[in-house]
Amino acid sequence: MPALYALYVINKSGGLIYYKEFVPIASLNLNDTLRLASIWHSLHAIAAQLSPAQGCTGIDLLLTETFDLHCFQTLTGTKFLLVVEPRTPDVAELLRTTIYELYTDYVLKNPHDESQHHGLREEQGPRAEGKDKGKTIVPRSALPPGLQLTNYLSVQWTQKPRGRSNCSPTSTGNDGCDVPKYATLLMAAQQHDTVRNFKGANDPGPAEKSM
Amino acid sequence: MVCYNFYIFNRQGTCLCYHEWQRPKSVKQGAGTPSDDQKMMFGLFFSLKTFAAAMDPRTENKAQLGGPLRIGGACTFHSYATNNYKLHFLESPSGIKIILNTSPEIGDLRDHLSTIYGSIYVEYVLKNPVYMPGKPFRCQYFIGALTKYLQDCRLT
Repeated sequence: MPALYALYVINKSGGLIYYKEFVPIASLNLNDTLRLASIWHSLHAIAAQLSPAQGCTGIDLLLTETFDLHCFQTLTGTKFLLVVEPRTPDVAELLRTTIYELYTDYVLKNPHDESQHHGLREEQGPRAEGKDKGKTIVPRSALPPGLQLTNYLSVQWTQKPRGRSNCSPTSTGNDGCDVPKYATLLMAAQQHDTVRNFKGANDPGPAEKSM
Repeated sequence: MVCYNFYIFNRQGTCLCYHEWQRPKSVKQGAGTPSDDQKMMFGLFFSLKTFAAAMDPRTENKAQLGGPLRIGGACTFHSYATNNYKLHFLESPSGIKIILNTSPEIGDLRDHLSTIYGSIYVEYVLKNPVYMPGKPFRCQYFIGALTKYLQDCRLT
């Protein structure tokens, strides 16, 4: 009986940056894992907000009938999720020490790593200039490659995905294009304080400017 | 070993009962108003149920993300723990959801929640002839029996 089912690593804006399943789970495709990661990011923040006691930092452990989900949040906002068999011992320890150490050693200390790409931009806040003035630019690390969120209402492909000639950003068809659903989740996640503070609190979105 | 607060919701999302024993962080700092707090709580566990059903590692007949969930059919979560509170959840076959927030060191309360549903909620509320199902209720006997039951359990 396997004890570990899957590992997810989520960056501080809610986007999935790494996913590994140790046991094949046939009905979860990549789009679903991306959505699940964003959903978890939002639920983690909402649970902290709804806490009846002060100083809550979010969900650490989710217990269900068929699996346990352990979450470790680093001081920088990166979350490590481990889906395990129920009642597996010492998982929090494993996350905090082994997995986090391997991540820092092999990923963060790698000079070619792009998961924390816009470091300087994050400190200054996203700047909108020229034709993009008035639009909120989302850091590239929050979106899947090839996608750019130009404003709250539409998403624009910067590179067309191969093999899908019918795919347009505004299509609501079923699995041809997952862009509107992903953008909706991302917008929902952006409303939370954790993400809003990260983006640059002084930068109004186009919805607020028009009001 | 502390109980913070307690919610009962029905299938439509109406909060039928809310009771708090202690709440160090007030509602204003959290959701803003009590009704926002209740709506947010409903949304939270509704999404957690969907999330748990989609993450389920069993592969037969899994509910698709975004699809409707049958009560009792899909895998559902029964509690989650944070660094300073633990939330316990029970959904009855009729869609009545019971939520209890306690301090984090408390163990598995699934049996206790079943007893709360079966011996306290059903007895004091559902069997009350003037109770309109689906409407929020306030019942002193129910809160009293619930508090007494939790106090008896905390000693064990």
